[in-house]
Amino acid sequence: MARPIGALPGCLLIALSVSAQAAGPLSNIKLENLLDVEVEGPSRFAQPLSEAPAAVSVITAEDIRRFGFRNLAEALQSVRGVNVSYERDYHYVGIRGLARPGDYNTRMLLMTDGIRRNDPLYDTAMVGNDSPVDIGWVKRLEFVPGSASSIYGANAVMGVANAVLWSGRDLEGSRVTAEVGTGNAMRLGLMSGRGLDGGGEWLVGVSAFDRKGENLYFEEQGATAHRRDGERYAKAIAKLSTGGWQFNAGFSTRRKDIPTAFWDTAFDVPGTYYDDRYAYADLSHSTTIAADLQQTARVNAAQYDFVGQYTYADPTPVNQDKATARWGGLEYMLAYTGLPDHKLMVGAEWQRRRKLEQRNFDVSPETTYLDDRHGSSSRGVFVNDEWRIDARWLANVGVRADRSGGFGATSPRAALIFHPVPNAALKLIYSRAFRPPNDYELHYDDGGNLQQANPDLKPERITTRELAADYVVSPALRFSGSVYRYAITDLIDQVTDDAGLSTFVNRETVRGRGIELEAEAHLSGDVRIKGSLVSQTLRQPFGPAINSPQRSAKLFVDGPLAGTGWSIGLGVQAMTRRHSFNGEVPGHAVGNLVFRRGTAATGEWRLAVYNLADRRYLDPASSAVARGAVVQDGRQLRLTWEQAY
Amino acid sequence: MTYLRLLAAVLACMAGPAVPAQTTLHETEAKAAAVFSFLQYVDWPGGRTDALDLCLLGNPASLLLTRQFQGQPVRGRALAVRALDDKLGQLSHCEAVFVESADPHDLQRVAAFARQKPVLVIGEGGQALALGATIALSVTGGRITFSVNLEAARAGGLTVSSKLLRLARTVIE
Repeated sequence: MARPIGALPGCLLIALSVSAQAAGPLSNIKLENLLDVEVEGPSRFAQPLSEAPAAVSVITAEDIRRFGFRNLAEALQSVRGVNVSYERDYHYVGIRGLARPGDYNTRMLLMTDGIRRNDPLYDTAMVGNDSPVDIGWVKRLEFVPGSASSIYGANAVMGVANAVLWSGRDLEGSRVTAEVGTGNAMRLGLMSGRGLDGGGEWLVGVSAFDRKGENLYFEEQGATAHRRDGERYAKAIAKLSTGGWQFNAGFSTRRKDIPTAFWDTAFDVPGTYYDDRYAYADLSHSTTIAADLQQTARVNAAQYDFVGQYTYADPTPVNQDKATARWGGLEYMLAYTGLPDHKLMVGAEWQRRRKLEQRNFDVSPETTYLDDRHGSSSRGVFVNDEWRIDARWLANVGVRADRSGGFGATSPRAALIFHPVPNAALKLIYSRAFRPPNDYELHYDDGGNLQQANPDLKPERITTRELAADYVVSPALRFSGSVYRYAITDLIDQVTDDAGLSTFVNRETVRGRGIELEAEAHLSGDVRIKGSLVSQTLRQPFGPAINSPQRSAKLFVDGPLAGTGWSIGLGVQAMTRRHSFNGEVPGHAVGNLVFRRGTAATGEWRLAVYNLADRRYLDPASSAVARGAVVQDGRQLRLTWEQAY
Repeated sequence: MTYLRLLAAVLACMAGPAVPAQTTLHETEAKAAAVFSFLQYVDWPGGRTDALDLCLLGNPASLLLTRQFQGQPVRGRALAVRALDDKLGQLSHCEAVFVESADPHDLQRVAAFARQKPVLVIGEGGQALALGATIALSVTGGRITFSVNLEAARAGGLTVSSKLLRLARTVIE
């Protein structure tokens, strides 16, 4: 045994010197040799979502700077057909008219670099300041409307958001960000990364935010909450890849003070807040088995901890929710490109939720109302084929079978993509998806006070049909649009009785349909305009759909202010009235304006003005808020300085 | 024993010719090198001898990397690499454009401009030819592959060498 081992170092030296030669001047590599070289990189295995059979929207880091998006929620809000509402605890993403009160973003899958990040207890896609993703780390945000359960399984019901984070090679150095803003807001960020010799790269990032918050007037109270809207967070990430290995880790902790007197808590009194803490780590390994056969294996572990503290008027004691999720899993994917014009993928996924705990109790004197401890597991297998029929036709067909916590489902998707001319595309998409009820929906119960468990919940299922079109008239002009219909059977939905007791139930079938139109033009003088119009309807046999605007319009304009060295970005978003469970919220239009000067290399300044006209407007809220709606921020300023080294 | 060991070492290293094939490059390096080598196999009409303008749109890492080809010879012409901003203001100066963007519309916009013009449009991913690229570059499972739309090249007056077509995974005529 000793002999071959003894021989190894010598060979390694030779191999290394060959490698160094090849990695020398890239211009010396012959094309035929290049085709044999093993290529490493983040997108090595992941299916690029931009090639997904759907009407994908891409928000670049440039867009984030131009329009001053402060978190993933604000970036998603810019996408046609998405309306994000804010209840001063979390941001809630509504997609294509579906935004259910009390739903913690269970119907959107959130990924970073193609890896699932929803927690398995609430199924939450964290997109606000509670997110494990700091907006400064995002290289681009891809949003895929429609179901993608045929590949990703649960949660990919109404849409998938994938945040592609910066990598070491993009940076080749460091970037510092400092920010101050209205409400005594401060944010600091530092990110560093580099490429390694021989193909690897690394990146680390940290950020911290603190905001004391403003005084907010609540009509329903007829009074002002004095600085009860504070928020602070700290986040960190690390990414390392080398030799086919990819390691990711992230951590986020946030506290949000809640000023809305929700769940009947005392108004304008400190001590009502939400704490969210999320951490993850995963390790993937990709190898080439044969020239046309590749595999990736991944192991991951994550944890989520939630504390909600509710302070009531004396003599009612302080009450707390505590929830804990610990989970981990394995994924395996195999891609085969040996059949001409076919790209075949098969995969399997197993997730074990070691600990899913929910507690509710009075702090002093200690009285426990809920002590629910579960664990569960899920597994899924999928197969997907992309078939390039000819230069004009592409078919994408896949199916996935899932088994999750005692529920099973099969989710197919078929898409046909036709390019009548190279600058136009037509996509016809059919999909079915499912979502099993989560532990929160099944088991949360505070002793029959405000919320009741329903262990008899069934999974919900959605069927979607969509026709999407895309036409690039010239380099300066593009049109796109979608028409769609969907039906959700057994929709998992929160109902609240007259006494204020909420329960999750399976509803009768709801049906949505809509038209989305978008245009993008690049005018002379480097001016860019992008606008969208959406008309959507959600029909349900049990009263009007809550938080579902029938029409919405979005407009984004960006360009230089001639002769000043400054550029401006203007974003205006408008929507028609929305129902809440307690009446109606009027329509509104809100504009944001960002002035910017310089580049990151030389030091960039940005001044953002949010809610330019200081409009007072509301978002519909869950039954936790008696009024059924929550007032939004007035005019806000944010000054940012960013420098690359 | 020492001789045996040495022999084993030599024998083990004789398997060496396979080693270069195991050399790894980062995706951005591999794509940049591929784009540079494509240029060696294309003839532009007009027999120009001034600098060959290669424009880049998209990925910042590739932009950084491809700059190392600045001034390198391409069939007797010096390569001039420049970055396009996403408003495409400088597009009319480009003879070749590499679009490495997650947004498929970027490629469509460039291709719409380049149609029937002697501009080599290199796009990324399986859909790139359908979106109007002349060459589609793909990284599939750790290997570089590419396809050529010969019809689009000819329509713009570009001549593509037969060697490039031989190495291509598919050629559309």
